[in-house]
Amino acid sequence: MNTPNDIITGRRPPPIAHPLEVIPIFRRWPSSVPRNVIYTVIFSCAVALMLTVIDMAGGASVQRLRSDFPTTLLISNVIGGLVYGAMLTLNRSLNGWVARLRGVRRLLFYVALVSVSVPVGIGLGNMLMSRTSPLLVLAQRGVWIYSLATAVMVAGFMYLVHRSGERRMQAAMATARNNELIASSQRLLAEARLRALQAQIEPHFLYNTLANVVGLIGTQPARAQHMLERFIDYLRASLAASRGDHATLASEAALLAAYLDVLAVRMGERLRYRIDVPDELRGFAVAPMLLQPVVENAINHGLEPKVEGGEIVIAARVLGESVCVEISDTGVGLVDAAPGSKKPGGGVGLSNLRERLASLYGGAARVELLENQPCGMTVRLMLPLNASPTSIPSTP
Amino acid sequence: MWPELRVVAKAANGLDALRLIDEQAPDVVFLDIRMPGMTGLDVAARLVEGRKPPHIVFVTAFDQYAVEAFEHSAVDYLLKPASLDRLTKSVAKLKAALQARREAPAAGGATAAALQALLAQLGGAAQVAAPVAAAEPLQWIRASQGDQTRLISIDEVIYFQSNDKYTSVMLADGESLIRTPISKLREQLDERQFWQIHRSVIVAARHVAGTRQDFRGRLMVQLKGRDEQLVVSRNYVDLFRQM
Repeated sequence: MNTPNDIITGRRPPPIAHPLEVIPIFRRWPSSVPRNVIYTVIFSCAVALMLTVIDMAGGASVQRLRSDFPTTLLISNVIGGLVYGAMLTLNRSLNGWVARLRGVRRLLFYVALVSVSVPVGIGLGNMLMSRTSPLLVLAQRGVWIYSLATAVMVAGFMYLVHRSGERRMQAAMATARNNELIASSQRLLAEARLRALQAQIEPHFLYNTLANVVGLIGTQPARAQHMLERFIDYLRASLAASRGDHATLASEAALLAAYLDVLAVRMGERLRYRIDVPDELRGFAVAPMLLQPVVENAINHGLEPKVEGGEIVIAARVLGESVCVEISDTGVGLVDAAPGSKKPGGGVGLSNLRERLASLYGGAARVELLENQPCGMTVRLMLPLNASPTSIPSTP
Repeated sequence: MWPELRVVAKAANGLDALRLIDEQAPDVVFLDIRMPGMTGLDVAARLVEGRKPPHIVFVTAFDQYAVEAFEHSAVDYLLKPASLDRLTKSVAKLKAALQARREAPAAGGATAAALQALLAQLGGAAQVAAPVAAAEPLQWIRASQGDQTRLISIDEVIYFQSNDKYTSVMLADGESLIRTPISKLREQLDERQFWQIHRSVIVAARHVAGTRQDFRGRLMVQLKGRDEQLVVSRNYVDLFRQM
């Protein structure tokens, strides 16, 4: 992993945004010291202009304004330079502390910074312009009142700009996150569709089913026929599921019943099952083919390895604000993985299910794996009652 | 096809098969490979150790790897479902083998050897791995939740934090408490995937987004998709830098 080394050896602290960025055109160029210096000059000149305009509105004569303007301009730029220089050095030496200030602390920081910079700037500016001693200038009370007033105004303005910048960034991040969620939902749905298609022609299931039918046709034709019929039901249901974006608990239950019936012919007494979906939940919308992989897992890793087989129960009920769907089996439960095998605990692969739920419901849905007594496991899904899975536009 | 053939017993699983073979001492055994409890290979392995093992014909669903092993073996196999043609061939082979055995009972050793070779090859995956299996790192955590036991896959864990007599297991959708102390967990976890950053905190590497130093100079670990940051204690900072 590369990041720790970067931080430990001192990577560049986050850049400071410039107040001018409130105007969109100034956002075109990325933040850098040269750019920010130019912006500071522009900003300072703008402030100088604004102060002159205010003076003019206050009734000062054009002549006086003309003579005062260069001084105002110089002082403004000196102040601007001081403010920016201070922010830059403080940010670098305190390792990005300035860029991370928030709320009232940031406002106070601005006020403090500008209140110090303005008198110093005025003093320096006057000294440069007219060689007057800065102490003389600073002794005038008017200067201090003027400084504080300007400081509060400018600081307030900078703070508001910073806030709007933050809000913009948050909106952009939210949009990006949203887009990512939609993209990953689409990807997962495409994968699920592919899986469903594969499941229809999934070699072992298809092969075993047909082999069983062949074996039974001569001796027990009625059973063979029943198996084929239920297999056809399963294929039809999974085709429908793989095409649509929405399924209901009722349609999923029908699909699972067909699947389990096919397996029951092969496993006989070793597979018993029960599906329990109350009437009021039959129409509850779920993502297609959500439960089938869980049931398949439960049989392959839970019941198949057990000599006497067991029972699978699929049940749904309302639990507070969620719909709780549980798939329980009385199988072998968690066994230590055979040495050398890569799958933990026999491959109870819930990670795909979890990913799918995360992209469909955000954090509102959850999956838990529980151990049953005396044996077996339960997969418990909690789906939000009032939200249906994000509807995803069908792929072109 | 083979009128003299008498089916003496049928077994539904490996254990019953061994018992019935012991009782009935058949000449030929058709063994399915995939069975609950004991696999057909396990049954065959046991039979080979016996005094006079029966002829074994494996019956298997299509499995590329197994079929290849069978192709190069003297032991016969049948694919499910078996075509009449193929079955006829198998029967012919069996008849010949049984005849040979009647004429030269000692020659049974050759079949046994072929069977052993086949088993070695097919069971090879499991056998090769055995020496590697020292102590597998922890894969599942059992946490009590009310009167039930919740199973948490090690992949779900973001970090462990010790909490008085318990250890807190932090997951994406919540938190669970387990009794195992952090010190014991450390021994059981894969060190490459779980890093101890503090006497009371072990974090999962896959959930670490990065690190930063706060203004006090402490090293902090940032987690992916979560707000909280974990402090790396001084004693563990050096360990961390090496990664």
